[in-house]
Amino acid sequence: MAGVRMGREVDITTIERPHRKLWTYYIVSSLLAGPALPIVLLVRWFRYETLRYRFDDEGISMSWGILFRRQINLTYRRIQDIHLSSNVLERWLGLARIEIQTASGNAGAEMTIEGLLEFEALRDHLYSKMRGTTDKAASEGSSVQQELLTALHAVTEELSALRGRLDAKAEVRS
Amino acid sequence: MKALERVVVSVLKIPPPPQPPEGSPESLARFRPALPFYRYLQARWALGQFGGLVGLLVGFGFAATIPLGDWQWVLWIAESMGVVAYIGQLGFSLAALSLDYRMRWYMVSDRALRIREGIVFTHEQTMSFANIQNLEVQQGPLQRLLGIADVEVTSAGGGGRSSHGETGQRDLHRARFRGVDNAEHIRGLILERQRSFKDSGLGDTDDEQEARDLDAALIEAARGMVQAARALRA
Repeated sequence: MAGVRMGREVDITTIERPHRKLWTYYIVSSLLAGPALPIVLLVRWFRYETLRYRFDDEGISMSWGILFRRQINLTYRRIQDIHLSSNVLERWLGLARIEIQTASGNAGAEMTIEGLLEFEALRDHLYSKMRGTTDKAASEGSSVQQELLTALHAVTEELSALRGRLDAKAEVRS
Repeated sequence: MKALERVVVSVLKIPPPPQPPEGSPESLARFRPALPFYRYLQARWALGQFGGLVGLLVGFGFAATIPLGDWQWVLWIAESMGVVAYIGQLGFSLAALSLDYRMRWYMVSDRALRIREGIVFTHEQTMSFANIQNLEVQQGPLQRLLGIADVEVTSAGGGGRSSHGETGQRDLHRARFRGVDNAEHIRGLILERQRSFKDSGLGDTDDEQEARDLDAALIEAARGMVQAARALRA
């Protein structure tokens, strides 16, 4: 984890599968289920085996499930806030959950990214893609406007220079 | 005591203090809960423990009155297990308070805020000011007595549950600066930084505001040109 904290460069787009430690975490935390252990473990095994992440330029998609499949997509710019949570067991394994929220009507997280060792780097990456965190360079549309603005200013300047000249001439004549 | 704490921190693997959120480093302000907050936690702990004690005593009363004949000892065993558990947790929960008080970090940069808390379940929350919807300062009677308050920041999105309960699933749309003694200062700081984001915080693009500013500047320039032209005719 120290390496991640030091800001080791991680290529986010290459992340696809959760780390094997997630399976370890599932096994150990399933022990809490008591008698329901076989069922819980089976469900989690399917989840672990089918869990896929995809990070592209626009957003994240995450899918899992064999019988009941689920896929969640969200765009970076719609992210409201990002949480990083972990319990003792997860920290022992070097894992943490990234909980991502959008502005939908839900107190819980819309997407929980789990089982990644690079959680901190990923969090920072997602955060930098979120709205309001960085100044965007002027977009193409506004550069046209920018030019128009400078042209207008130039014309105004010319006009007032013209006025100045006229005034000067009038003064000479009188 | 210090050594013990170090052992606990390393066994629980409590992560080191959080990195500051995005934003310019000069603007970063760090806050900590005030010392009275520790007193507040202790008071709440004492109240909770008192409740537990009352529960145990009531249990004793029941164990004495319910006639079970030969099976009475089962009740007594259950009762004494309760007492042992109660005494056992006293020290642990009291020690946990001190760690809970110290393992809290609040940070405010010019773009975002970050809050880290928790010892067994750690939670690090990041919200950008562009997304903050409202701001609340909360203070109960005990907190007022101690001169501390909670600053609560909410982002868009609903939640069935409120964050006010300590247990259960927390409402992730809320961030709380718990037990600070400069609530007004923090509130002012957040309001001031929030003011620079003029949109609704619901997914509008950043450049939209920029484009609007540019439009306004264009109109302004055109007006200036008209004025210059008029002056020329005069």
